[in-house]
Amino acid sequence: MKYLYLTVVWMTVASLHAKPYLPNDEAVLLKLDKQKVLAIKQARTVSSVSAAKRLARQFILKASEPGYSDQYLQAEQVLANHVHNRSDAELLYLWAQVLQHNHQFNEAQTQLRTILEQHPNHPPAHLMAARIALIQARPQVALNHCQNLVGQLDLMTVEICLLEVKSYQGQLHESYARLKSILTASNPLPETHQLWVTLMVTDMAIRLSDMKAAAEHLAVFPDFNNINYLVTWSDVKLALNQGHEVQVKLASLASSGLEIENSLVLRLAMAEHQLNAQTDTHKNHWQNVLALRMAQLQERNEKLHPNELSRYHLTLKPDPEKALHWAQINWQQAKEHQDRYLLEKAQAKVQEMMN
Amino acid sequence: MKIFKQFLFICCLQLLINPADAHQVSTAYLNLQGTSSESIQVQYQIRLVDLVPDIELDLDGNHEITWAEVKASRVAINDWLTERVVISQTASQCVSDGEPKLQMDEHFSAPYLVLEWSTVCGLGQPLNLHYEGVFKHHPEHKLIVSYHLNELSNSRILTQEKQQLDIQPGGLNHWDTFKEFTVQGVIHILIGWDHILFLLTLLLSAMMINPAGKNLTVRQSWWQVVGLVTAFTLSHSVTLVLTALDVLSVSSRWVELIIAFTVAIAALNNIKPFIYKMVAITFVFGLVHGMGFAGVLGELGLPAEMKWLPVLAFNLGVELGQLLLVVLIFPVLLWINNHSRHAQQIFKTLSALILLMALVWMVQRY
Repeated sequence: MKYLYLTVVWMTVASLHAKPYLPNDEAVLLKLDKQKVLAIKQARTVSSVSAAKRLARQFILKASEPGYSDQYLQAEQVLANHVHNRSDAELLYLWAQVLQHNHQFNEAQTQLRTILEQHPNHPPAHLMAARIALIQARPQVALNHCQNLVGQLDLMTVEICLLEVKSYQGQLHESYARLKSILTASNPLPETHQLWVTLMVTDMAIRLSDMKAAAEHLAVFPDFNNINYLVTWSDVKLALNQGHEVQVKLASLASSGLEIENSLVLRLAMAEHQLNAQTDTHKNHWQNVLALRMAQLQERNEKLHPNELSRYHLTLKPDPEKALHWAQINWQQAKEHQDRYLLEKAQAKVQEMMN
Repeated sequence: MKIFKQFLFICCLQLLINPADAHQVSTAYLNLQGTSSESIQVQYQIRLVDLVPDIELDLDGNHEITWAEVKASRVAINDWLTERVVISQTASQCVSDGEPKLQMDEHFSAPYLVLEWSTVCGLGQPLNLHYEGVFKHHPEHKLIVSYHLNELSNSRILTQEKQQLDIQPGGLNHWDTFKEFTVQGVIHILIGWDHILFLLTLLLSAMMINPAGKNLTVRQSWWQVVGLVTAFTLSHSVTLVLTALDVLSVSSRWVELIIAFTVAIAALNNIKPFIYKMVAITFVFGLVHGMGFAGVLGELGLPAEMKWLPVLAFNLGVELGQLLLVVLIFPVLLWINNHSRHAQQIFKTLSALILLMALVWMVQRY
């Protein structure tokens, strides 16, 4: 692995010597996104705790949109100076959000524990702690957190929390059926719950290998401008061999001039690959973009994107050993069904190669 | 609190979903080149967008950065560079001869600002690089440093956690290399749980396994430990060297899996002995552990100009770490053996726990 990595480094370094150039004075080198520039300025000037929290909330909300995930950096920057204040529950909660984004799940749980020690009835902390516990394959811990919400939040929210946990405790079919009936009974869903519940019910359908139903759940709210939604939607469409839809939708996001996230570029490249196979064409624009991004991650010896690197080596640039290497690193960070699936698939590919 | 509750329902429920990998990466490059003269050519490349939080490049406020604006910001860029990329020597900072030359480049579809300058240092002296870059607002930022100084070529990555790099530009200093790799060897065995548990299992076996069915005396136990440790040392040294020098090549996945297997077998043998020639089996198992040690050495990277010394130093470090563990653990085991009537049960329980751990590793590594 090290030699591969060094090779990548040296290839990159070697390429660095060849190309520097002097542009014309008028040449536009970089177009800045107004919102990002504003966020950077705000992050630089903020001083009070209340302003830091207000900005962090704003940044975290924005960061869920394609091309804006780097707003987490601004959130981290404005919160970092204040996190020593262990008695401000909201501050700690926002910090836990940042840590979760950075895959620092244990550290995020530590922040949430601090909140819950001081405020045992803190619904957001319980909800988030339950979610992270599921990522860490600790459903019993998640169950306890959901149960703590009884009496604090409306029954529907509590039940949805419990259903997700139970779906990981051998009751996937029952939880899925019950969640669908809640959706039918609560039609239309409160706006606040739409994305959360849609992705949860879709996830359950995917785990039951019912991609058609998953697509139907997603189609109820087709316009979420949310990275997680778009990733799930793309995966479902790709599984249904509808890569052209993925290309149309995600390429339009990319054309906005923003640097879209690797997870979306991966889906675009996979869609392109699928379309090539279906139509006997040889387009490779997105596959090339992705190859560069993956090379960059490997050059950095990056550990934050193991999921994408594993998928990349499973599908677009088959290399079972690398796919397994990254799937194992991913498994150390997250242990949900898609992580298990990735690991098992990579293991199967390695086995296949050895036989 | 009201705003916070509102935030909860608008934002938090949205974020309670599987976090997609959505991180944008920031990488800069630093290339140092120097031959016989004292002047080192430095080339630093950074994404233009990474400078935006620190330097006002959009002078006309139209949200576009032109080359004219970059040139007009030259003073601010120089100040930034002087503060964030510091090349120095033990007593003094290296002296740059003039302002950096500005150019542009593109990597991974992103525009990079290229800064080139010469700096005068005593080439025979060690260099120190201190890099702050944009860690302040981009904690995931990394600097990839490559250097080619007096026939010495290497590359390193600097991160927020590691912002310093010491370079020996006059060629590799044998003593420093020896020290660095020895320390790494010690560290590796002290943080390698599989090796520690294997060693502990061997030490336990010295207190437990006796073909004659009698308790071993203290003296016999010590000799047993000496035999086991010697066998382990000899065998893992052989494969460590062969693997590190690319004579042997085995998939790291299988090596890691078999290491877990060796721990499991050794622990099981303590609970229900079926192998009595412990020294022989330790030698065989040690061969696999040596390949594991070499994997770490590969991660550290061997200087192309000098392979033997780091390999031997790393091996020595492993032996020192191992010796330290034996000195710390074995007297405790001896004390338990001599002072507790339940010593054998304690040792068996310990072995059972190790067996359990090894089985978990085997499943994980398979």
